[in-house]
Amino acid sequence: LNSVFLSDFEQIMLDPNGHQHEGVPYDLAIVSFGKTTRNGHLLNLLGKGSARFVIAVSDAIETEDKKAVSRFESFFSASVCNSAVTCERLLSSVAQSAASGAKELKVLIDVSCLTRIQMGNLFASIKTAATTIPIHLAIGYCLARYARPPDQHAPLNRRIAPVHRAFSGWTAMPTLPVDVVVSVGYEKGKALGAVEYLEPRGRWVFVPNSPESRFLREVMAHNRELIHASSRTVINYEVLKPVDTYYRLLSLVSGLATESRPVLLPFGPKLFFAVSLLVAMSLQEAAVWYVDGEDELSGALHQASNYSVLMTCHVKSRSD
Amino acid sequence: MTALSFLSAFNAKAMSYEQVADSFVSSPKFAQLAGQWNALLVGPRGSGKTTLLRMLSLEGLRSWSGPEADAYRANLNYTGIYVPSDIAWGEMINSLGDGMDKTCFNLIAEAAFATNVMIATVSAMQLRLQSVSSVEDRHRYRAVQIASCDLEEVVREIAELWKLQPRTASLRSLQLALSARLLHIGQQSTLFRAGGSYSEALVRDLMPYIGLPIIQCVNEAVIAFDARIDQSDGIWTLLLDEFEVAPDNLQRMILTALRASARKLLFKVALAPCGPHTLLNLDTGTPPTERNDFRQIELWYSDKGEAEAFCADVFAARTSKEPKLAACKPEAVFGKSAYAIVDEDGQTNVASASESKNEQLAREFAALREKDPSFDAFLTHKKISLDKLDTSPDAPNGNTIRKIAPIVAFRNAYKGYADGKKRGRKPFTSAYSGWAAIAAMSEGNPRWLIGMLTGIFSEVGTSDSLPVSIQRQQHHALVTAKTFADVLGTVAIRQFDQIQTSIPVFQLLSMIGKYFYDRLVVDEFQEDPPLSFYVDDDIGDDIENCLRIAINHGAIVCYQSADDIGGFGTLCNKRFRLSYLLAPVFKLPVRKSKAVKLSTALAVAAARGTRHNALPASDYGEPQGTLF
Repeated sequence: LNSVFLSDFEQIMLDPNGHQHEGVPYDLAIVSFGKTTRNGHLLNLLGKGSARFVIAVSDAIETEDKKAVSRFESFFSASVCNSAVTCERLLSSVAQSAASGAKELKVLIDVSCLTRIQMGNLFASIKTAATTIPIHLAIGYCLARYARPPDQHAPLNRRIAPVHRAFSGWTAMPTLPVDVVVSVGYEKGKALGAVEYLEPRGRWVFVPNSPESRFLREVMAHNRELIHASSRTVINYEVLKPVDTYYRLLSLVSGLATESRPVLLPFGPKLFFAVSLLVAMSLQEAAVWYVDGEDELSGALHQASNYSVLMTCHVKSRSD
Repeated sequence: MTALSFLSAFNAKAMSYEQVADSFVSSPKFAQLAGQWNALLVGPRGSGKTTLLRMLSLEGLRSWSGPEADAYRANLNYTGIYVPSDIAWGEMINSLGDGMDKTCFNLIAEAAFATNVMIATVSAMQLRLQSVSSVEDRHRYRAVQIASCDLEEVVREIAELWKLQPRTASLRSLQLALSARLLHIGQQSTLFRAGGSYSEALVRDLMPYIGLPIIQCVNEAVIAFDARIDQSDGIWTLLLDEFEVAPDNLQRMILTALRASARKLLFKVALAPCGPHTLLNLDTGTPPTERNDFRQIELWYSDKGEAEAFCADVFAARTSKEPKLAACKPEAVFGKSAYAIVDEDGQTNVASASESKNEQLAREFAALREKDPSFDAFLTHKKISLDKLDTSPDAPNGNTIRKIAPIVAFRNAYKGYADGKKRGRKPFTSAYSGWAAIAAMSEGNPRWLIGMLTGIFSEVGTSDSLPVSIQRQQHHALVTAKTFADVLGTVAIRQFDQIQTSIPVFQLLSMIGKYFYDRLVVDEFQEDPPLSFYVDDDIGDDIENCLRIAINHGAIVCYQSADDIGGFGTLCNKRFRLSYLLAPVFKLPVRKSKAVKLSTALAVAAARGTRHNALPASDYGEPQGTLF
């Protein structure tokens, strides 16, 4: 079940004035399509030529502004595609690279504005692709500039479920209890509702800290009950140190998996969601769940801040 | 108290058997469930289904030392096999089928679920053979001995039946082989999907255990076991928890088997009242029927008296562990409710508080008459004089006065002052204190009751400080109510895949609550304003599905018994009320009353605006910051 393993983690902060990509360009860069400064920010920082091929994901292509699509495609030399087509192209790139005898495929995914479902689909494809050819994976993230969250409860929780079948977890012991690892965002009531839904034995709460310190204030205010009631299992993490976060999360979830079925509920920064998917790639017992409807809120966070980070790792087949 | 400490006040899934047994309170519902028959245990979240099933398992009964424990152990003549399940396990199984054709998915999902049942069965056998050196007989309950050669033979027989290859002829090896099977199921499913080309024949070829009939498998296994311990007439019971998350075909199979199952193997199945099973076609000409084939036990109380008796037992169990409250009666801790809870039949079951009843009535009636012309007209029409308020049954209008007293109190509290005067702002909350009100608000739901009791008990310094002040009781009752409302505000609107709505659950509840509040307080005075509703033909699927989710969370309570197998197939023409726990949130009395068509209530509420009348956080007695 654990078909891949991950190694060689590194992280670098990107220079806000432009960070020229060095070395071999990425074979494929995947970003989200959109008109805000945050959508193309990472590609701008890395500079033209950092990727041979760019795909911008949009799952509402039919309703997108055609001129905006053309401008984006022209400016970034990109193709705007939906999630399904993006995953197909990723897998066909893998097949081509493998056929041509390439040692690895270099893929960059800018997760800043991707939805959680899109991330689930993409990372599931990476997991599949890595069984064919090693993937040099770079995950880019641009922190949003602070924007006030809604005061009221977040929009509807439509469905609370695993984000993708590849991340639904599996167990040889269904009799074990459920433990949840939840990272909180600034959506009021979301995390509490999801935790209650799962009726877990225990819960661990990751609280994000970043240079945009006003986020933390809102996060604390909107998750006061959850954080207060979990005081002995609250873990503070730095959003812009994803490798540290990966190892802390992996260590925690590995420990939990010996005596429970761990379910990750990564609200808040998309980078933590990506890190959770990487942890679930490493551990078959871990599931990554999401709340449908949650991404509606993050639409407010469209302005790029001066803080961007790139996390890299190798994803390989266990049989390699 | 925080939301989470309230929610996890009694989460039996997260507790050890000793912890569950230590706080267990037997009830008539438990007795109904425990008998030697098939049973469906139907109730909303937190209503205690897991606790009841676990207490019927071998481990639960061995851990139980309460007053009735010995009697139960003496009278129960079956071995309970507790089969845990939960939403996460259900989603894991569902994920196996993503992108796979329905037939193959059904086969694989069934195999996964069946393997879990087999693991639980082997665990129960291990427990029966466990040699415990304890002075207490209960730890040896249903313990048996078996010669090692016989045990090996049993293991070999079961392995053959279940198509397993254990490394050694031991029950432990059987369990390991079953765990390995689960891993194989997960791995094969991934490979089938990744490969893209598979067929039912290939699935059956690579997974030879696919399609094993689970009921017969368990039945034959326990027959083999019992034969070796010379108890051929032994009975076993599968205790299937949270069975609504099981694959459809398995639910259909088990529910159908309630009629046809061998009496060697009984089923006790816990279900949500509006789970997907209620939408299943059992595909049989003679479906199982209640009483003949199974007993249906519902964990909600339309009869308040029954709930109060259970609440009193829970109270006694909790206070037995609180030295400062030992031997205290509930009324000594909570006092009596300030306002009577009056049923629609006019029966009052709670006496009034310290102020003399007639003084209190006269004060409330006079205050309301001053600011409410419609009440004044009502009094005139009924020829009720405030100088002679007498609630005795033989007094003129005695029944009417007694019946409207709580309505007058609510209306008076929320109506504000007469024209030109400042509107009253202080919430009317004294109705939510006193033992009768606390017990009624808990709805007999152990999680809610324990949540409130825990908070209120923490206020008790010494027995001299009893009863706990009304303000402190109100505070904890209101926080519990508000927390429940907060949780309802985050409930997902799609559950079990089949039950979907576009309407947020709390929004619908708010509209209903607002309608009742307006009829009670804003509109012309009525002797018997509606506080319940029935689902009429004009209610569409979207609203009905929203109500189904509300029922599963205990947010609305049905007056009638569920008339379908394991719950409500349709809600049409059923009568409901809002949970009494939401009464403080919507500023409503804890009271039964007449019903109104739901379509009418929603139309009126919508026409008057969607803003609900829930109390703002600042009205909950303490600043928000100190509540959580």
